[in-house]
Amino acid sequence: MVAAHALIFCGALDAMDLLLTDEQEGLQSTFAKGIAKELPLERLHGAQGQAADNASLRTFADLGWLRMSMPEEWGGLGLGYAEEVLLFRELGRNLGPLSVLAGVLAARLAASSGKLELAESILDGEEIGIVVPEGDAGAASGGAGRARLFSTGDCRKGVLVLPDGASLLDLTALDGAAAPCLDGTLKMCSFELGDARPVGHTEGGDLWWQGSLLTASMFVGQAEGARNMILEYAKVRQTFGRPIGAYQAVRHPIAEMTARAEHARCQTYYAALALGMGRADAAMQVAAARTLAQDAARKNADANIQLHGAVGITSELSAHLFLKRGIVLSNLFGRKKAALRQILNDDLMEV
Amino acid sequence: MDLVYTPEQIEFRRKARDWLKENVPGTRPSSREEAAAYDKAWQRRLHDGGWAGLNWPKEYGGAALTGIQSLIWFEECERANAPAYGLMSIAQTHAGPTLIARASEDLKAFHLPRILRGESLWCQGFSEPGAGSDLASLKTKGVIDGDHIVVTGQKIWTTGASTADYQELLVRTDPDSERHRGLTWIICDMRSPGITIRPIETMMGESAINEVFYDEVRIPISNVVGDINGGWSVAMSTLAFERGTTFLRDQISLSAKVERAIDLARRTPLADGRFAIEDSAIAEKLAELKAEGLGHRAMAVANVSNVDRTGSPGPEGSMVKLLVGGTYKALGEVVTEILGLGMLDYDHSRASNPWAYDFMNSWVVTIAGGTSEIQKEIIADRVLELPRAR
Ligand SMILES: Cc1cc2nc3c(=O)[nH]c(=O)nc-3n(C[C@H](O)[C@H](O)[C@H](O)COP(=O)(O)OP(=O)(O)OC[C@H]3O[C@@H](n4cnc5c(N)ncnc54)[C@H](O)[C@@H]3O)c2cc1C
Repeated sequence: MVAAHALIFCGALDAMDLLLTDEQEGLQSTFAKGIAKELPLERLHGAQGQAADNASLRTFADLGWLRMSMPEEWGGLGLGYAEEVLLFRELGRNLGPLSVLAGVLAARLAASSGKLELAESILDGEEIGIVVPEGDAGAASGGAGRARLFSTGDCRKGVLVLPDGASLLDLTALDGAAAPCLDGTLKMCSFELGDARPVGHTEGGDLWWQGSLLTASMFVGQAEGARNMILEYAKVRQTFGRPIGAYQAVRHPIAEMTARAEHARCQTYYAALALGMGRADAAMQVAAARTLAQDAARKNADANIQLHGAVGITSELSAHLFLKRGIVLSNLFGRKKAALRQILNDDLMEV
Repeated sequence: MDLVYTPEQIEFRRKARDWLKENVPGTRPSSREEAAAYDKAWQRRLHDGGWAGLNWPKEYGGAALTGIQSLIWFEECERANAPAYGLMSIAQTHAGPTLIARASEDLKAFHLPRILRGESLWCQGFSEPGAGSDLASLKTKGVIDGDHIVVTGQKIWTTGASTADYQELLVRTDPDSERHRGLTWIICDMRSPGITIRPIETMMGESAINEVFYDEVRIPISNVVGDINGGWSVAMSTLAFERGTTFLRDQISLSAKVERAIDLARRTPLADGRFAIEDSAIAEKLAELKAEGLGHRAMAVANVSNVDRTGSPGPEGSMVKLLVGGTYKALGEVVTEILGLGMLDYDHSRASNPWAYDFMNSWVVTIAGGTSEIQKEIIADRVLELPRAR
């Protein structure tokens, strides 16, 4: 049958292409292996999780993963968003530390605002947190209002990214007490933005769209991770003398999880390329990736818990972690509402 | 990964755009016979312009386009508002490819040029009243009598049977056989004595689908494609082509429909006097559908790239069909909300209210060509290798 199809589709390979190149395949498998080894989901059960994530940030820095998209003079490889989405997809799959995202954005901010030492220290693995303003992101531009800091361990700096500019904040002086967080694998502090000291700033929306894109990739990884978890279980858990994966009430939702994750993955790759090219529709493409990926991650987290039965709601199983981390991510870089507004108001690009 | 078109692709797009600008005909008539003539004439024009058999190989008169070129072509067709294949679809997208892959040289030499030139319309006689999703349970009987197969039985849901010249017909030639063994794939001349066609009206008010009755219809054995009793594997390649790129144009049209719905929401006031787009629930739903459409396109790019690289369509076609069906239905729901009573202005023809037509037709999208449930089964089996219930 393959030969028959080959007869029909006899074209050569074109440039327009969403498949990975050999180099990208190589990178992806390096990321996948490294992250699966450093950050197995089980680490998140119990106290050792944070220590593992702190150590892994250094490891990733040593491997050059944080600087891979930096230019050569920074020891980087000059790679682009297309490669970054591969890294963040793998991080999402294993609920990797948010400080990798913060680090990539903060290093870019520090480098482009001339804070070279700071940039070096971030690229070497200094932990940076992510700052999310409460309420409207616009109001935070003036540096007012309350915000939350999400991090793995204790960190002294946070990156605040808004649609029209980004700041690196020194938080040493804050008494921002850690508050318990729904996602217990993260540290969350609440503080007054006016009390933080800015140590770097850039104008423009670049980091906002990069952050949205990388968030979309993490959502894609989560959607796939949740699907993989239930897929394995469906093959081994038996009821009424059969594996549950033989029942359509189980098979069909897993098939839907798969289609959803693929849909979001293709759109995220497309958006990465559009953003890298600076295409006129890049913001809309990223917003669409974000929307599809967030939906896929949430629905897949839901199905993963449901199809596990009672064990699905226990803290021993990792299923709940996909749901909880998804709720954290859905607050980064504006909420879904803002992405939808962007999609609705932007025009499709003429090709 | 790369989104940059090569100079050749850009040139190809320009050529397609220019040709379509000169050649797109007027509106397709609604009566069945006139529509059939229109579809044939359009195919003839495509043929004369070098656009027939888009991904068929050159040796059979095809245009041998790559997957990406096909995508570009369909995008340009959408932009130019060019007719879809219409009743030509079966001939072009699965009968032709199945013949190329499996038929004798004589059958190829006779049929392929006729299909390309728009001289023959085809229909697909697979489904029966007792065999739809479960195609292997079909019963229509084919008895071998000398150099003929004599067919008796019934098919149903046959799109375009009354206007078709030929049919992809699947019959049981071994009466003692079970399931997929003992079936034969044969070309049936629709003008053969013994065939009776009865149209079935759809909920859109059309009669494009039919029941077809066979009363000792004699078909030459030389019309068999593949082997006698070996029809199942031929049918499976037909279905693989059907799920391959057949729906590409529909996928692209869907995005254009979402844009039209957004435009509709900007122009249509709700009961409270605000425009529908000012209603946040409607606006957000439309934005979600637009995002889905962008995702479908990205998936199409990935899928055609994959076909170009590996030479065969994978089970991804089932994922796209499943997702596109969902978007179609959701689009109908939101338009119903926007139009209110206006959704009811429908005189049982597509032209009177394309929104109402498309909403009713969204169930065709999720049933015909393999239901959404069957697509999920295919994903579960072939992508996920889940244990089987059967
Ligand atoms: C507009 C239109 C045009 C068509 N044109 C043609 C044509 O030209 N030629 C042709 O041969 N056929 C044609 N068909 C038929 C089409 O292929 C069948 O309708 C389809 O395959 C479903 O079969 P069925 O209608 O017998 O439904 P059934 O198979 O009876 O299914 C009934 C319901 O059960 C579900 N179901 C069935 N089996 C399973 C299962 N294993 N697991 C889970 N759920 C299941 C189905 O999804 C469906 O919801 C057309 C159909 C339509 C609507």
